[in-house]
Amino acid sequence: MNPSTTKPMSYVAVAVAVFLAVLLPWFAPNQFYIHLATVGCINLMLVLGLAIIARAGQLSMGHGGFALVGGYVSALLSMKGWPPLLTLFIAGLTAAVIAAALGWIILRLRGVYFVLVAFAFSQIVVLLALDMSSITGGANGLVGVPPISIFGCVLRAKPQFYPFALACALTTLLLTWLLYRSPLGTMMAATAENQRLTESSGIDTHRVQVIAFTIGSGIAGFAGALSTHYLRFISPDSYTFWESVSYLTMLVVGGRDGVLGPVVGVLVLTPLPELLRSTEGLQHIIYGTMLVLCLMFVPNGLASLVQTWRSRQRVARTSAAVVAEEVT
Amino acid sequence: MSMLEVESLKRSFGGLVAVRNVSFKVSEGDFLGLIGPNGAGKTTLFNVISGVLRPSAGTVRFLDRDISGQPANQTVRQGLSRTFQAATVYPEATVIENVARGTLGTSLTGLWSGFLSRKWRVAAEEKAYHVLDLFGLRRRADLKARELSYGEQRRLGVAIALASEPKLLMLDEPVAGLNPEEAAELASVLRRVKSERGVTMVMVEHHMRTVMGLCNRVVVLDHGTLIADGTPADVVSNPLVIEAYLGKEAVDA
Repeated sequence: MNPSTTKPMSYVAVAVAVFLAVLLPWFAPNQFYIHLATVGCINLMLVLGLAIIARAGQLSMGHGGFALVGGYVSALLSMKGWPPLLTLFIAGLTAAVIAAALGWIILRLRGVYFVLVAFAFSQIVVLLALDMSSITGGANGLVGVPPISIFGCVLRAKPQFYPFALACALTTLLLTWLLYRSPLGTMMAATAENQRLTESSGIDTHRVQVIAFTIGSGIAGFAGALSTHYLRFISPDSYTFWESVSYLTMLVVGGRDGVLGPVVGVLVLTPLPELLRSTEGLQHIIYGTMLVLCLMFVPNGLASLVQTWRSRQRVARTSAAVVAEEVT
Repeated sequence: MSMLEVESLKRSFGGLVAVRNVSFKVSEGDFLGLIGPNGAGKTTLFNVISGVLRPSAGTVRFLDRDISGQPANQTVRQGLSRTFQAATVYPEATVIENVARGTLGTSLTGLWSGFLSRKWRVAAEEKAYHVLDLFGLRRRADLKARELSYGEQRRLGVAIALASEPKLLMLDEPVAGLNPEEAAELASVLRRVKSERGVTMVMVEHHMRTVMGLCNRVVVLDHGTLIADGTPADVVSNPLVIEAYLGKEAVDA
């Protein structure tokens, strides 16, 4: 989706959606819905991070690894007495620095090799968390991570934490949208679509991809830390390979273009396992079937349905203009 | 003033020498044709000059600066752009977006400019519309590149390269695969680009009518070696060139 074509109608839709999200605690039947919405906000940040990396044409299978790094960094620092509001950002920054160093080396690797190295990285982080038990608490993880407090207001309960998570997610969403509209975002999209041509237009595509990987992984680190302060707990199991896969699934089901795809993917797939819980043993089968159907019938993601409709209008408009010109 | 100087350039792939001790110069305002039989090493030479491949030996000087082995994105920012043999466009982007992307590498001051302001996009699209006018593609601006005909896609490929405002434009077989009308149209576009923008051009091409019609100088490559350098008329009557294309008997006959 080309973000520059946003129409006034979409601004209204965005305002309504944000309004409903803000009001959620007032009409949610019980706290579980607020919990689900909070998890959704954290997932959205992680999927947006992944989407930024994918925007520049790379697939990160180590996304969970960066979230885990962020979670541990923030947990350890805040348990030493640092304010969690600060350690959240340090966590994001640490993940970003690691990604920049790693990206500089491994983004020279193309396609499948990058996928494998990123995957290996996330496995190494899990193993380190398990082995360095004197610092990380090993398999037991870290219990009693301090809650976030803003201006003396401690975000301990779900209804208090949710607005903060929502604010973080919306800020990430806004920044991602701005990034996609910026020259850098345009270069990222160009690199993904035709790297050789982009390089021949005078753009250092390697640098563009490293920057995208750094931003995306930094967001993952921040989100991992946020989740750690929400659950007040982190262990090597918090972000395994399966979490990385599930963010990728959300991205693919929702759609890889624009910022709407990740939102749709998170909205559909975060509550889905909970909704399917009543079907007892069938939930994995139904989840899998839905994924297969999605990939078969909307391979570009659910958000592409909107785009298809827009592109039909665009082609109709252009051909009408050409016909009109040729007739006169 | 000589714009491009290639000096004893060599490139080998393992034991295969694709380009062997090639030297030639391109002066400002030239339209140089680079011809030769299939497998003569023309595209390899092109790739080495434009920075896609590193030279095994020798130097490439552009505007009196050594650019040998420099990555492609840097040579473009210094004013040397190229096109590719196949239609190389962004198929899913609109035509105007294709050309606007071509302007970014050379016109922006930094990656972070334009994060909040939209001025950069207005400027890029304005520049892109001028290029589209030159190539007769303005009416196609809102279509996706993959919706264009093959001939139009080839023209768009050249338009993207020109969007980076090069001083020297290198075209790799620009009319290959086009029908005679499309080839003639592209040739007239190139002539217009040359006169309006004063761009020096180097073109690899098999289509002799296009080469004869456009180029003021021709160099001939055979088995990686430069065998002739001169005006189009000189070159086609050169026995070495005829031998390279048609075999030795043709010269004796």
